[in-house]
Amino acid sequence: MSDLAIDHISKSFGATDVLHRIDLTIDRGDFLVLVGPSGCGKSTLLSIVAGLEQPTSGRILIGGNDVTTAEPKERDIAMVFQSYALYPSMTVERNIGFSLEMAGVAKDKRKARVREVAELLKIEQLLPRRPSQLSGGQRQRVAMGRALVREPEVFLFDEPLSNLDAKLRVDMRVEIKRLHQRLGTTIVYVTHDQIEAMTMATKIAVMKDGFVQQFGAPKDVYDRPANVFVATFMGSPPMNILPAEIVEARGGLAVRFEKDEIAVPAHIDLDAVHAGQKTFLGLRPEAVHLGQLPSGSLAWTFDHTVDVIEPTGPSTLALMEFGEDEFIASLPGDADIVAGESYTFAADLSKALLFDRETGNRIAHRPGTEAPAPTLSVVGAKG
Amino acid sequence: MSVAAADVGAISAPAKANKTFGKRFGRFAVYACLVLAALVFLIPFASMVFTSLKDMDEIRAGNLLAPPQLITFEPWIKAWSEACISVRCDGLSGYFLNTILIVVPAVLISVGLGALNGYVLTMHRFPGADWVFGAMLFGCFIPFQIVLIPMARMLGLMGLSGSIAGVVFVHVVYGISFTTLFFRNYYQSVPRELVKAANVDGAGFWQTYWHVLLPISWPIITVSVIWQFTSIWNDFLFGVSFASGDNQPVTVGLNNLVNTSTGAKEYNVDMAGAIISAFPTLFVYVVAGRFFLRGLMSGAVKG
Repeated sequence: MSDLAIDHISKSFGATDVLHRIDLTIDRGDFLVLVGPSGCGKSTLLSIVAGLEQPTSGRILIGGNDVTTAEPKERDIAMVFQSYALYPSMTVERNIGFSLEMAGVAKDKRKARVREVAELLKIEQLLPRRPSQLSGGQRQRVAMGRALVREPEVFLFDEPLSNLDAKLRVDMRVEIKRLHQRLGTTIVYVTHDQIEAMTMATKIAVMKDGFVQQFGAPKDVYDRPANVFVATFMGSPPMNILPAEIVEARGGLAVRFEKDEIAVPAHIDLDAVHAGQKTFLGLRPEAVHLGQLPSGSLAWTFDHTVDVIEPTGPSTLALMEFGEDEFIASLPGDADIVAGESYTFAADLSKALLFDRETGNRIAHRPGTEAPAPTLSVVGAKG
Repeated sequence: MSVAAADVGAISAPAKANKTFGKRFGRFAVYACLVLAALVFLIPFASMVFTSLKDMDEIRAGNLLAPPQLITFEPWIKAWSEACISVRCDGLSGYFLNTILIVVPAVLISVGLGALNGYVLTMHRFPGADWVFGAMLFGCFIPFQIVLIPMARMLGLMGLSGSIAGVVFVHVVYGISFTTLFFRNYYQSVPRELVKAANVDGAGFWQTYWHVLLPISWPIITVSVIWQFTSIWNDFLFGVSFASGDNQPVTVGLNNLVNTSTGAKEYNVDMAGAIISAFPTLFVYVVAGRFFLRGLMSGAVKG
C-alpha cells in the first residue's frame, strides 16, 4: 500500500508556477529523496507535504488519508529543518518533548519517551542543555530527536545536512540511513547534493524548474537517466556529453562524433534512431580508461592531450578539452599521467548513452536490455 | 556613556602592542570628546541637584554651580506635597500618581499590541501585509499637533474627554506605530522555520507565540518598554490637551508649579519638582538599559 501519494500537485505563487503536476507515490519504508538544483521547487513540495504550504491544485495522501487541507499536526508527519529550528529558550529535553507537550501527553510519560529517543540518538547527556550550548552536529541530533519522538507515519527532512562540515555530513548521512534501516519509517528527504541522494535513497525524484525529470531507484537514475539534465546532474564528476550524429554506414546505422564513427551500440534500440538524427553521446567518466581495452569489447579508442589533472586520492581525474566541451576521464588513483601530454584513452561503449539533441531525452534501449523500471516516468522533460 | 567607552576600549585593545603617537592621540581625542559630552549633560543636572538642596537665602547669595553649604530637603518635601499649583496646595504627588495611572496601562497595551502586530506581520503573513505595515509606519511620522483637534473630537464621541482613560487611549494609538516597527523588525531576524517547526509540533497561534517567540523577545520588549515609558512619561502636549483638572499628568503639574506666580520664585522647589518628574525615566534607563545588550537569540539556528 502506498504510504505517501503526491497526486498531481501544482503550485503557483502569483503568476509564477513553481510546481507542475507533480505525481509521486512511495510505499511504506521507502526513502524518497527529492534532488535538484536550487529553485527547482523541491523544498516547496516538501512544505506542501508538511502542510506548511497549500498546493494550488492536486492532493496529498498520507497512509491512505487525504490530508491536502489538514493542519501539519493532523498529518502524522515530523519534520527536520535545514536550520534545525530548535527553540532557543528551551532545554534540549523540552525541545524534543515539545510536540508531546502540545499534544497534552502527561509529564512522566513525556519524560520517558524523550529519554528513549535521546538514548537512541546518544544525546542523553545533552538533555538539560540549551541549543546555544550545542555544536552543529549535536543540534542536528536534537532536531532529529524532535522528529523521532512523535513516531510519525512520514519523516520529512529539508536539507538537514547542508549546515554541517564535510566530515560530519558523511557521518550523519550514514547515521540517518542506519536509523531508517532500523526503524523502517517512510522518509522524504530534500537535498541538492546528488551524492546524498544516491547513497540514501530507495527512490529518487530528480527535479528541475518545477518538473520531475525522473523518478526511480538510484541505480536506474544513474544508469539510465531520462535526459541530459539528469545524466549530468547525477554523478560526480558529471557524465561527458559529446555532440554526435546518427549516420548511414555499411550494414546499418553508426554514431559519428569527434572525428570517429562507431556502430550504434548494441543496447540502443535501432527503431528509436534514424539517419541524420542529431544526438548527444553520454559517457560516464569511469567508463573511460587509459590505454587499450581488451579486444572484443566495444570501445572507442582515441588519443588526446590531457589539460588538467585532479588527483582525488582514490581516483585521478583527467580533464580534456573537446572543442567547446569538457571531457573527463576518471582513472585509477595511481594513474601515471602528466598534464600537457597526450595519451591513448579507451571508452567502454557498452554503457554509452544516446540522447536526442532536440528534446534532450535519452534514446530508448533495445527492449530486453532495459532493466525493469516500473516507476520510471518522465514528465515534461525539457533539456 | 559607559557603554560607549567600553566599546572604544575593546576595539583598540589588540593594537596595544605597537602604540604610535598617532594612535595614542586618537585615543586621547576620543576620550576627550566623551568626557566633554558627559559634562555637557552632567553640569546642568549637577546645578539642578545643588539648587534643589539649598535654601532660598543661599540661592540668592551664591553661584549656580556651587555645592550647597547647608543641605536642606525642605524644597523636595514642598515640591512633593505642599507646593501650591494653581489653587491647590498639595504638591506634585497627585499629578505623579496620575502619570503612573496613564503610563502603566498605556505602555502595557501598546507594547502588547505591537508585539502581536510584529508577530503577525512577520510569521503569519497575509496579502497586503507590507501595505498594512507601511500604513502603521506612517503613524511614526505624524506630528502630535496635527491630531489634536480630531483626537479631541473622537475622545468626545467616545465619552473619554478629560479622563485618564482618554489620555491612555491616545498614547496607545500613537505608540502602536513605534512598537509595531520595533517588534516587526526584530521578528524579521527570527528564522521563520522556528514558527514552522512549532506549527508541525502542533502548537497553535497563541501557543507558538507564548512558548517559542515570547521567551526570545525580551531584548525588544525592553527596548519598546523603555521607549514607550519615556515618551509617555515625558509627554506634555497630550496631557495638557486631553486631561483636565485632577487628571493631569506630572509634566503639566510641573509646568503649572513653575508658572504659579505668588510671591518670590522658589528655584529650589522648582528644581526638586523637575527632578522628581524626571526621576522615573532616569531610573528605567539605569535599571533596564543593560538588557539592551543581551542577545538571547544565539543557538536558535546554526551557530
